Amino acid sequence: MPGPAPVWLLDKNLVRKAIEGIGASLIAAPLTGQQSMALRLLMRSRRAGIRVMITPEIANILSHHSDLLEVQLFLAEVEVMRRGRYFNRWARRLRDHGFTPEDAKVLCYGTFGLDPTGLVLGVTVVVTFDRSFINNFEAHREALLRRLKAMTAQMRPPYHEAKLPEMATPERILQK
Amino acid sequence: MIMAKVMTIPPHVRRLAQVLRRLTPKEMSQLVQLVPELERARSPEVLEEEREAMAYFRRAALELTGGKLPSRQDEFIEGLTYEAYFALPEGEQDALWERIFAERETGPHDLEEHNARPGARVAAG
Repeated sequence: MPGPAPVWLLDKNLVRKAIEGIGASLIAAPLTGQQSMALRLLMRSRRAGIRVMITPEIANILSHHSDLLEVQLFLAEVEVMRRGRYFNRWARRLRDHGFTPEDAKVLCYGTFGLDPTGLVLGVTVVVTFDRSFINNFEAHREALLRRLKAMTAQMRPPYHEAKLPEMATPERILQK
Repeated sequence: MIMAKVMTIPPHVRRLAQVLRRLTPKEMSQLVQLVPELERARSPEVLEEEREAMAYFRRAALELTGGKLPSRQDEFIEGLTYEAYFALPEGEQDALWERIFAERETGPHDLEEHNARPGARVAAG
């Protein structure tokens, strides 16, 4: 049986840049570098069969703006994650490592988020423009791995296999 | 011929070019990290991919609206027209999106924990 497809989780600034980029495309305005990267990332995922997801928090905020054509077009390209079991427990541990509540939540979806079908746990890569978020993650990666291993050791499948996601900027993803 | 071409480039761009010519390769690479547009500007593949993406979303919008694309004078976001929004300084665009992202996070998607379904697997690594 083939394994699950890779999953990219977009953070809120990537969502913003994609929506702006779609807007600029519709009026044939030039794209900024970040808008271009956000749109090319979506194109790249379509071609490569990679699933692109956003958090339910961002999806709920976008639902307040669902009259916007750009929001509708963007939402047609992505799926919305759900919180998996142990999400809140892992979020509390992440906050001990100096992540903001918002960054901790994004990382939590990366490990204990579920796809809409409930058949895929976590994501392959969290994609963000925020280099300080990535640097903080890299600085704590070993400690996080230890804590995750300790937390999941006695859990049942699939939670005992829960992994930390990779973190990358769109530039890095697009260079591959 | 080349000189004539150079003279059509605005003076501030030519001054910037003089500064850039003094950078080491390492400093150039750091500059590209800060301004990824520089890398994009020199890659035809990137420009092609960007054109494809823009065309894709224009087609998708035409399908969704039954054949009508917005104009620059139409409303884009938060009561601003496309023209007004894209003319805003970046700081004001940032502030607008900060307000949007500070809105309530509740809505049609629940924030409760759910159990994975039997047979669930971890995302591809």
